Amino acid sequence: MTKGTGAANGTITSGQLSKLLFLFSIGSAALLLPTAVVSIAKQDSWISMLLVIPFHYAFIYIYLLLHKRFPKMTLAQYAEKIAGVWLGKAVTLTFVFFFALLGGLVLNNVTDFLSKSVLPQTPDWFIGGTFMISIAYAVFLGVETIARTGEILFAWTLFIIGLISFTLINQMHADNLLPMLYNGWSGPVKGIYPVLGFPLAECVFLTAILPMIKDEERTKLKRMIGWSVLLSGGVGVIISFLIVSVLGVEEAMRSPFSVYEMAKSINIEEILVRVEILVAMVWIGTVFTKLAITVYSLVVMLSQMLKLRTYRSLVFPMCLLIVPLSLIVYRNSIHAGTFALEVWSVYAVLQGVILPLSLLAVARLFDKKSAEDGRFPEKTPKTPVSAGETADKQG
Amino acid sequence: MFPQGKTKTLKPKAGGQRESPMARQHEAQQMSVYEEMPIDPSLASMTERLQEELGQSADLIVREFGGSEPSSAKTIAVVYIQAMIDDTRLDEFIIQTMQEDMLSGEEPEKDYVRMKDKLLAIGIVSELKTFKDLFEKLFLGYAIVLMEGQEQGISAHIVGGASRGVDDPKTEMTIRGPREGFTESIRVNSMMVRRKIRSPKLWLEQHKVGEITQTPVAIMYIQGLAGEEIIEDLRDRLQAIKIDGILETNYIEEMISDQKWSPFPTIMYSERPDVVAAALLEGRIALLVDGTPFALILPVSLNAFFQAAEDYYQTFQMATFLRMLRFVSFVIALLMPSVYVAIIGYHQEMIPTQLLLKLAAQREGVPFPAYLEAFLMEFVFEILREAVLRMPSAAGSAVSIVGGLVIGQSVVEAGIVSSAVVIVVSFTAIASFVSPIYNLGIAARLLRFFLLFAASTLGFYGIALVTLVILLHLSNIRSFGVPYLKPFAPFYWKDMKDSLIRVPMWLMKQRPQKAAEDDNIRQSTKLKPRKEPSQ
Repeated sequence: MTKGTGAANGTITSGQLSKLLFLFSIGSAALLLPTAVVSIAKQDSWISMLLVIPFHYAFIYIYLLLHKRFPKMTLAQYAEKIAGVWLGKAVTLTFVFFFALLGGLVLNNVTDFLSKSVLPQTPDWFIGGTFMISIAYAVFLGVETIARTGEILFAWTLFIIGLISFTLINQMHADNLLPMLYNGWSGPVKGIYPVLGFPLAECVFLTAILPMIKDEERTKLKRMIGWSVLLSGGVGVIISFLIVSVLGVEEAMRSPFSVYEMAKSINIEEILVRVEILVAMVWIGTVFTKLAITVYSLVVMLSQMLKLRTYRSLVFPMCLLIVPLSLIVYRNSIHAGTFALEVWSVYAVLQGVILPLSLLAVARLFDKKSAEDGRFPEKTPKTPVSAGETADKQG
Repeated sequence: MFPQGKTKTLKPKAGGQRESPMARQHEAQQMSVYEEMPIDPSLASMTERLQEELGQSADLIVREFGGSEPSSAKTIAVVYIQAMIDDTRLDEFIIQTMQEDMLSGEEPEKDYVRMKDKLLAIGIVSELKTFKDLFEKLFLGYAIVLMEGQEQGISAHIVGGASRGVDDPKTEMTIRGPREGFTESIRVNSMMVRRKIRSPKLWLEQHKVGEITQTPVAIMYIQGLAGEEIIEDLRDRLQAIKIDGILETNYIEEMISDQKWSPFPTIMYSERPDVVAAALLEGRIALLVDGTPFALILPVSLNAFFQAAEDYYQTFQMATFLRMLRFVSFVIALLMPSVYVAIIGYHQEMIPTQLLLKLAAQREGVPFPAYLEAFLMEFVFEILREAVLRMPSAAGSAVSIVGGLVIGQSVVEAGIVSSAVVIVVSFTAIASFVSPIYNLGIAARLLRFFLLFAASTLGFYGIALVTLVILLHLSNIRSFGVPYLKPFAPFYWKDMKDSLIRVPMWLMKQRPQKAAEDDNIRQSTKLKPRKEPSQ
């Protein structure tokens, strides 16, 4: 309708990307991961979280290197350049499956958490369905909107995490953290294992979003991502530190949502009590971002694989697919625990690290590079769009 | 009626933009007849024609002058609309001149020039060639001088007539700060802004909007500070408006805003010249419309709706505190009833035990579930509010007694509604009035019901979900290309100085971003008050 409106509804800044990365990394992991890590690394779980940070950056570095070779393309597009059209499409298809499954898992986390802790009588499909409607709206509006929403959620998340950590100081028992490194370094090192898949390797979503960075922002990209990795790693360390020191190892291992349990113990003079709903609200925000980005990456890669002109037509079908997927993805919580702890890391690392790494290796070997602009045509003033629409109808 | 003009063939335009079929039809009915119709040199037929066009309207005055002889034909006519002109000036500077017989009557060309340049002692005088010009001036309150044998007329600016004087702004009160508010006259309004910004860079661009009302609309901006693209964009949008009448700024606001369906206002209005001046200095654009004391300000972000003029007229600590307060009030106005419903319905464990017992005691015997109570009371409150706004002031006390005492008190005493709900609803109501710009409160008022519904079905999860969707919506919308949540998202660190916080004046070194990229030094950097070195 106007010149300014929506013309740039598809570019984000480095800062926005790094905030998205932070929210994604915190994502569903903040609530679920500590239990897994604590059960392996016991009281040294915060050391595991510390050790994870370099891995996180190393994984992302692969995507950055690929991004450098193909600055305006997503993985779906440069896979075809690197491996040839059909093999490339096959690679993309594995990512499509990966993101669809990831979407199902994340949605399952949401419904599982909410039905277990807040809304015991509401059926899962209803929670999942309503959540997915808002996700579909977000993805439909585009990456720029998601990024801006992410900026607000980022501030909100940091604020609440700060508040929670601060109010928990009087509940901390430092002796819960002792003895440190009782079994040597093997515990903390083993504790890295579940984190590698969830959420580190999932950050492969970056390959779908990196081409959306504004040109003038690309110089800052590495630094901002570095900060983001440090911050999310730091939050991970703080959370696992708090959990063990407040709840103790035993209780932290037993409770499925240990951060939520931890927030329940906040008690300032009997006035500020039971603020765990704040944790739930933050968590809904971060999971929302994570799922929105996941679905976005899914539909973007799928539509690029199918060579569609826009991804928007795929949003609703994919969202409809993810809701039932989330209901059947786990049989029960034992299944969930085993899958998340043992299987997912292998699969996610294969998908999020090995595949991009081999793509990178091949690209380096044959020196493949392309500055081609593979992004979707932007939502520009109405005339060309409506012209396109009419052409669509005629064709 | 007017003779029908040429009807345009309805060509489907490529791209269609904002041309709805109705708008195109409208264009066909436009009164474009006058454009081709020159002024008739014959005075008699001209005056007759004018009378006829106006349907012999009683307030069209045609005063004719001729020679001194009884038989001499009339050679000059003065045409005006009664009460739209200033009678004293008409008598003194036009009628008197006409009566003095200073024209030779032999050389009409010379007479015309003499009349225009020498005789009319009026500041603004211009030539009219067509009926279109003539009517345009006539209905603005000019006097039109027509002469026999001339294909031009002369318009003389003696605009007068009753109008409201400059008065206190009624909607945006301040304790400290200028006391004048806009009036209904666009010229007076633009004058008031110009009196604050004495710069040749303050540009004013006048348009006419409204096919029948021909309402003057002025775009005001500081050249160099306001974004060129936005001005151009605004111009395009104004020219695209095809509507019968513009009676208030909202007619324009709804036609030009980016977001047709959003409850959130993407254009701000103000009644205060100082607010408009401040907005202009920030590189925004003001839109003045004749006939209303409100000016539109654009582009604005959500941020602007939490700022009042007075923030800049008192200490920065207080301003910051008040802005936070307004923001919190907005959140309360939006969320409080739904949070109450969610807590009572789903999360009773969040309430401290003592309070829970109190609430439970109150709710004892209340026949409705909490959400129904809240809906009910919200609804009653909205009715009361509307009743109080619209009724004649004499009935005011009756309604407030019935509304406040009878409904508020007895509904609780009768045990139909718990008093907690009454407290929540009334507190929400008060909070919704805190917003300095009234129409942001409207968004909160409407969305509150959605949130109530979500809270009653899904508890806090529902609230979180609807809030997320609102947040998405806010992140998505723009005001003339400027993201609505700027400077929070996209985050601009430098613009934080004047957002929810207001830093001291001496720290506001740069103009808001994107107003003018290359020239953004607002003030010298060495203004921070410091101790005298000699002490």
